[in-house]
Amino acid sequence: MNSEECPLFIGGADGRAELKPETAGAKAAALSRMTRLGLEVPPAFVLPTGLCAGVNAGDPTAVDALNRGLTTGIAWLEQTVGRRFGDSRAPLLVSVRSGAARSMPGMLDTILNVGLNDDSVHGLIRMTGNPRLGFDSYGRLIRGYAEVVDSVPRIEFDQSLAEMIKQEGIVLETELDPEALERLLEQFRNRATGIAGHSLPDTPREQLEAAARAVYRSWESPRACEYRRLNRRDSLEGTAVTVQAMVFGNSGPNSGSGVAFSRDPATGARELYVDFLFDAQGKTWSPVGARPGTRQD
Amino acid sequence: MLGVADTKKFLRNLLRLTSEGLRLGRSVRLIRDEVQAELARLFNNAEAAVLSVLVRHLGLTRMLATVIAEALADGSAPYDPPTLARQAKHLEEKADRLTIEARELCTRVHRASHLRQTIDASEDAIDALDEGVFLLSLMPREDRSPHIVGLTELADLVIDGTGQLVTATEAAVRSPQNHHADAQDSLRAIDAVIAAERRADVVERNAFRSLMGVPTSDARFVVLGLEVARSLETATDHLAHAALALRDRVLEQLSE
Repeated sequence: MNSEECPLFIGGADGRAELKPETAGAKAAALSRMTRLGLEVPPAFVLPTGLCAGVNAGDPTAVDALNRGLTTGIAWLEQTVGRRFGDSRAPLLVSVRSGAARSMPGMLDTILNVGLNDDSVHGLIRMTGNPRLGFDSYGRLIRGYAEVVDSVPRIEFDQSLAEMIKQEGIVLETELDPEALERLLEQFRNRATGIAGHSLPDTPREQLEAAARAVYRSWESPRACEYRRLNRRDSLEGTAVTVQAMVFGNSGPNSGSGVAFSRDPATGARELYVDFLFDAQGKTWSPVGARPGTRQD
Repeated sequence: MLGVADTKKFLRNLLRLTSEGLRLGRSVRLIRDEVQAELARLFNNAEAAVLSVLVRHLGLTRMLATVIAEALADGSAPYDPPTLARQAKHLEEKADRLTIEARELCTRVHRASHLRQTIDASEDAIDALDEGVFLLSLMPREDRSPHIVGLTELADLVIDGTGQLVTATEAAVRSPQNHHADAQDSLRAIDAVIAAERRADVVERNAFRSLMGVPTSDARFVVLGLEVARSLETATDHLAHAALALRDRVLEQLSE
């Protein structure tokens, strides 16, 4: 991998070139295409698939390229978005996403809201005027980081969430108020520390580097290897890592998160198929704790 | 006034500053200034604690306003008054507890009258919303669409005003540390809260007009529609009062 090609850019003045799925992953290539079509896509930078094997093997050249790519990419993203990573007044937050040349749905890892800490969460609240969004996003990062980077079992956090929903006497996760979410994130932090010996690092850069490495590492997970074997995708080089400026599906009932297909994935019928949740971000925490949307909504 | 924990911290630091100062041969005047600076820092911490509780309180107000906006968004959608009332009661009770905590913290703050007014007015705002939910829960279950035109916009203005006050408060947390830009941000957001209140006056009248323009044989729609509109507009009034008291505090700090 030529280090001059790392990172690749999507959006802004530098991100108009077409990205190929083989180097940037299918997701980043699609984002790049959408940008070129003039659609509004949050800017992103991509650490290419070519680094995956080297980073996972601990090759110093690949690790060095990863670190330099993150430094260059974050500086570019800060300039493009006009906010600073980890700022305590108006922070830039990012998602760290996986993406191979061919889609492997649900097999690889993603971490959202990277860049939040005890200071920058107040910057997010100040920027949006929405304490619920701030504490919800911070809790998701603490949980996501523990699950993906430190392999803390999901069930640990599901238990905390279920207990909080019960304590509050509510039914849906979306009914949790900001005061409850602030307490919940502390419980997540305690659970993570109890199992992994530590929790989310305070330093956004440290969070970012660990998240990028964990996303590359998810390529080697047993489920991802088995998926490639079953689907005859053993020739794929690795996953790319896309670091993208966050937008927030969990900022209220007028926002949401989901996926849209140009065909019905079950029947193949040529019609729009949308699967999403109101007031939600990424994967929902609990199958009973979210409110599904429909195409009619 | 400082409370037990901060008093202990102050005494510990006082002993450290004086003993270190004397050992290093510092002048008595310098040591006295350092002690005064430490005391001022602790009072600023107490003020930051009040503002942090206020942000939590406003977070609950914003959520209650969102619940109302959702209930109003689709007048023909299935409607569950008991759930709405339960959510409102839960949020309002939590807000009450936070108000008590904020008032207790205020006793540790030097010249806290403006902060106290901000807290009281914020409490009045959530009370007005709670009243609005009660009235909304009395509305007949039939299609409410023609009778709630304008109410949704009022609820959105409450959400906007509350969000702006959150921004103003978060920025004000930093303004005692002599961050002029934070004070400016706070004042800008305060101005936006007041603008939302002025807009709410107009929208309330539009809501009244549209309620009177829809013929109905069920007087409950008209009476409750008017009263819900009034509750929402009253909430924006209280938010504006809270914002103005916060403005006085921010300006007071700039002049100190």
